[in-house]
Amino acid sequence: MKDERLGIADCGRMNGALMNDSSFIIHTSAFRSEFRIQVQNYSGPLDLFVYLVKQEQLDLLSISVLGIVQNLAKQLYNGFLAGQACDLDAAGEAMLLTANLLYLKSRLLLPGLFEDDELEEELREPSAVLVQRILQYEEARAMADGLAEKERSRRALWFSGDSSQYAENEEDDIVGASVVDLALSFVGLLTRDEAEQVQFVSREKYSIAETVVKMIGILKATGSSGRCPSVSMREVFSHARDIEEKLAFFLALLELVKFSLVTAVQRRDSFNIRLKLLGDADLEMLRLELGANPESGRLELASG
Amino acid sequence: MDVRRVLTEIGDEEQRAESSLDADTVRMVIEAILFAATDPVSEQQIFGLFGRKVSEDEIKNALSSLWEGYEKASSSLQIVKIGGGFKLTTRAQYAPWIEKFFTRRREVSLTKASLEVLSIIAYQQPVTISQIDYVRGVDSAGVVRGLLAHGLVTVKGRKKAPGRPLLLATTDKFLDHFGLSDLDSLPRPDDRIY
Repeated sequence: MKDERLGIADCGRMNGALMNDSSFIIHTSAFRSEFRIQVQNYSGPLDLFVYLVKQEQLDLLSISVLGIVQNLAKQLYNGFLAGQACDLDAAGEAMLLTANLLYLKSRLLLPGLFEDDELEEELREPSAVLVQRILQYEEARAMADGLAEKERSRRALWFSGDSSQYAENEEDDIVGASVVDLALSFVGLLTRDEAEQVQFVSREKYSIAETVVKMIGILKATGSSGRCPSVSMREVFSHARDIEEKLAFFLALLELVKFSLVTAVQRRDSFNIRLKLLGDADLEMLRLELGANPESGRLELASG
Repeated sequence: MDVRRVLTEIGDEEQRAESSLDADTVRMVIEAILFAATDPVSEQQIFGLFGRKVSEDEIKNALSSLWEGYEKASSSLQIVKIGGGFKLTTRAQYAPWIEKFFTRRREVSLTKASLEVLSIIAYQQPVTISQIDYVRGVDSAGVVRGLLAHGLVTVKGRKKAPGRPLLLATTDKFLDHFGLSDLDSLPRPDDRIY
């Protein structure tokens, strides 16, 4: 990958709102956001834009953040309409960066309202330290690419007994289920009354932490771990008592998939999603992280 | 019953068993173990299996001979050094056929976030979660939890610092997952001049 150094003159070409012309070299190879924005005279990756804002190289007061948000939403929506596979990592990162921008703009518009803020500390971080962190992260990403290559090579090697992890003869033509598939399947599990129910904001009835523990218990009880068959999503959700708990189940499922504790698969020609517990969920770590007791399922204060 | 004769026969049987552990037998026993085992088999495990009947050098020679045998025979099998031990695996070029036979590709691979966290742990171990968070700029506790559940990382103790945070390190399963013989085989980033 070409290592590009961007001098202040280039920054000037990028954005007519540049605030100062001190010598400032940045390493654009560190900025890889897939979402690009065009605002005033700047056209480039979103993460580079946010970096320049934080370094006070761009005047956020003269830039419409609303336009950036609308642009991002349009890119995500158009991609979804076109049926393109959505890179959730990139989309999530873009949303986080945009939220950062909104926060920074609000601070500029309403000074003095934010005190002892962690972001204040981050904004005061010396440029050299920030660049060093970016370079460290860049190195970690490069090494992650190297590991991904090693993983691909390793997966081409099979050994005796290996097939049992993957060959489930009764489930041919299986593919991984995406978040969109999970969402569509969840909607399909709702009854007509539940789907038409008027939604209102209310106090949380079921905590996600407790529901995560409950779902792990259900998956373990039905024997869907290790080399045992998977369980249909319908069967797992049948344990939900009402619509609120179904919603909690769905959010808990997303948490488990995010942490790679559960995998969701489906046949190519079917909407029926099956869930499988991966490995042994570290319930002790779950208790410390979520504050939920894995045995009782109740929320308790984490110790230590 | 002539006890002396029975004892002599038992002694002869044991002597025959010991003397049957010639180089060929050792090599074939190791081959059988590598075939049957699902995890990498270390030299220490093989040495423990034979007891004092076979020396470490004989075991090394047997492994070397096995490896050469598979290379010379142009076999679809090979012996690789992975995860601190040895494993009998198929060669990479036959993977498409095997996947076709089992009618399923290996879809399970680590996410980008997991690979980033693993790379930080692998190269800086032992390392704390806060150190990982510092490099990535985001909360990595959830990803670490998943890696712990899969056995790719483990807790190696606690750092002697305020809060006594957990120290994380990679495991032999990590080496096996990426086909590495040891941590020295980790891919190195290109030397860059910034």
